Amino acid sequence: MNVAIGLSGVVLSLVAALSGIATIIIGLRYSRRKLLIVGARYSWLVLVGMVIATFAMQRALITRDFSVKFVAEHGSSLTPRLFNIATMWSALEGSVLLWGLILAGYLVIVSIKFSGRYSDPMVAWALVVMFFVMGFFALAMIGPANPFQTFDPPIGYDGPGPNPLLQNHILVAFHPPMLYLGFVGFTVPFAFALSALITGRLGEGWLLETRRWTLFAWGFLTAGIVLGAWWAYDVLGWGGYWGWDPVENASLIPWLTATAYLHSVLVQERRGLLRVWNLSLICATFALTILGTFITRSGILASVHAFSAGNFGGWLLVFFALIMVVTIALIFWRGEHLRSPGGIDSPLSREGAFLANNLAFAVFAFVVLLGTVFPLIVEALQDRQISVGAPYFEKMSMPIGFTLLFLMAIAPLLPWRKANKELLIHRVEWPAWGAALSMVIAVAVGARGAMPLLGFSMAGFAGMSAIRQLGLSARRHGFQGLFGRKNGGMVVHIGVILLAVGFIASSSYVDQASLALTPEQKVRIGETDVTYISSNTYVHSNRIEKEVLLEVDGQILSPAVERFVSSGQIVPAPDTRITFFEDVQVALLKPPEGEEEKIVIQVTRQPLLIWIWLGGLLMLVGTVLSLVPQSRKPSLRKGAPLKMEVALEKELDSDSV
Amino acid sequence: MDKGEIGIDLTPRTNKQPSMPRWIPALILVVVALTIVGLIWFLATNSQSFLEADQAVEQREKLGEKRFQLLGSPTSSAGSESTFVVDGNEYTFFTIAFDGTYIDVISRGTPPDLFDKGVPVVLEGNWENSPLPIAGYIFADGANDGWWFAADRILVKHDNDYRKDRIDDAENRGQPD
Repeated sequence: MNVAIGLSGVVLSLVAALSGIATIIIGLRYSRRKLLIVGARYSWLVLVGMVIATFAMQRALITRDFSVKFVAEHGSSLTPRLFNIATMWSALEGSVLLWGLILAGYLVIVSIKFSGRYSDPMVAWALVVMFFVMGFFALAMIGPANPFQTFDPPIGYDGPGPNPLLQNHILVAFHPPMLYLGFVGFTVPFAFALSALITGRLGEGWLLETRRWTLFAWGFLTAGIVLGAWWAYDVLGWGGYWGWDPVENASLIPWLTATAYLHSVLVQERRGLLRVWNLSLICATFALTILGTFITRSGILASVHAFSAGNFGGWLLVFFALIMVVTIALIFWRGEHLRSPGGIDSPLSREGAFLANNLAFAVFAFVVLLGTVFPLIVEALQDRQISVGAPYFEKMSMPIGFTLLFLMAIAPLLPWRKANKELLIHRVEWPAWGAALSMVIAVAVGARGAMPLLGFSMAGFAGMSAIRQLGLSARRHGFQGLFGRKNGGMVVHIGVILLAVGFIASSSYVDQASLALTPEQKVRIGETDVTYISSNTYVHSNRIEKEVLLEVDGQILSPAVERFVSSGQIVPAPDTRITFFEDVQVALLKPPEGEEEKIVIQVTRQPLLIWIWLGGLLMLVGTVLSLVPQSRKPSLRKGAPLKMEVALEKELDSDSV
Repeated sequence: MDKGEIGIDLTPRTNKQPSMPRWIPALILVVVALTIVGLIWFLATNSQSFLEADQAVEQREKLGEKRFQLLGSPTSSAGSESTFVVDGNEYTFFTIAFDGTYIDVISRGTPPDLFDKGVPVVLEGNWENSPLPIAGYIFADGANDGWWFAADRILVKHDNDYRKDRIDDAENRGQPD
């Protein structure tokens, strides 16, 4: 039953997507407005199909319908309800279904947003591109990523449930959907970029149409990446949060190109420059989301995440190649019309800083991409498998990260076109004090090492630059001064700086040790006092939990290990003492067994780790503020002469984005 | 009035932009090429061979003391009977298997929580052909051939098809145990 309902939904979406493409193209060919309207409305049918398919999958998971092979492979009667729902995105086929559902949602929202402009070829072609992407995923769901294959379960069969690692933390319910909302969201600006190339309307129109969509997708991708790191930290118990694994890199690479794009569009909007670059960046971002999915879903790279291998990888690779070929061909075709009117007047200008920022982001993305696919290149050329270690990524990302922090500090201080020396010296004063102050504070609290100290002072420089901008804007507009793309962007910058400081501190001054303890034994590891109090065993419906109670610096922590009944797999459940200045995480490596009460724990102490999560949160707040337009109405303060306000307005406008 | 009187040159400007010297694109290409070569060299020096247990055994003479990543599945969970303290350092003794080939492993420290029998692991370290830190130790179900892998890092794979065998069992033999 669920198989039939689910497949009907997928087929409905596929047929609706193909009908949408055909109808709109015919409408465009013969200039039939009605056909264009009908074509756009097929988006609703696509969504209905995907909702039906998702409903069928959720129903199958909740009712444990093991006649659906996906449920038989990944569902279980022992899985708790929340994780049962999240089981859908715990494996390939369900993830593709989630991708399809989100894409259908975006498709409908785009068709609503542009409902008055269906006859505009720009909108029509953008919808065709979106229908095409949707058609690809719907076709994959009938082919190699079919979530509704049948299974004939023996009597009394119960599935193993999702991987136990995906059953013991609430973030599993949010991290993948956030990531997918980001990945899939880039389809919208990509569709408009292709539409601009097809229609030849290569001005700034398509950028303006899609800038909020891009920010929206970027915000979700940021949230997805940060939540993924948080999940890894809270669940895996190794004391880290980022391992430069191919799966992690796959989400970081499009994030880097998208971040470059968010900056470079400002140059095109303001000066009409970087047209080819912007088109290439947004198309590359979308293509990299597909390549990233290929990397994670093809099993082609040796990763500790080890997602399933299957034919879908080949499909994704072909789709990626198609995107690249079409994009490059269209850009070459429109080459003459993409020439920018003029160039950058001076490198010491805001557009100069944005260009440098874009180069740094592009190099960063290339470095991570090369490191990620290098094993594939070596295997193809030399028929041997290699693995690129974290040291490559760490050594390469540090100088690029510092460059980006410097540019983050300097770009908001520079005016458009050209900066004069006096103005720059005046504006750099406060940020320079910020750099000096953070260096002094870092040294005073015991930070050592040239690179971390350079990083902290760079963060202080960039932080004060962002605060200065926000202060100026707030002085001018009051509360409204926090809204809008530029001011929201400054809040995002502060979030990035918090995250960078947390990253530098936690990775530079990590203190980790493992040791054996017997009951009531008290030890001191570094600066941490640990006392083993007692142990408990709890039997839950789906797992047996062995927990130990420890007193860590006066606070009771209860790290545990959990053995899942259905699979017998053991997963960790570390516990962490969190303060604003440091985290002390304790993982239970060896629980007490039988008569033996001895345990082995691993204690990891990392300063400022919570700043990473706070930074991520602030980046999201900044993204939301960027999406809210700033009121253009000047806020006249009581008694302020109108002339002065106008003068101030003019002066600051020359500096605004 | 002529232009000398007002001091302004009113000759129409030609829209001539200074052209880029021809050698600039070539220089950029050289810089990019050198950067890529440098990057690949840096990558090569920061990468390790990734070998399955059977490949590692085949190549152990050639590998010598070179570090590499080794893939296999532990044949037993790491119980307290396999953990020893030697010169103040804790070592765990276990065996991994892949495609019928067994390798004895001595890992520094306690394996991570996820470490379990049959769950694939990626170990980082090198081959050793020296006496074991615990003289006369016999690995249960191990190779016990005098060679052992000295590991200092254990990564446990977390696979989303981690229990695919369950489905295969059900299809082939009915309800699995």
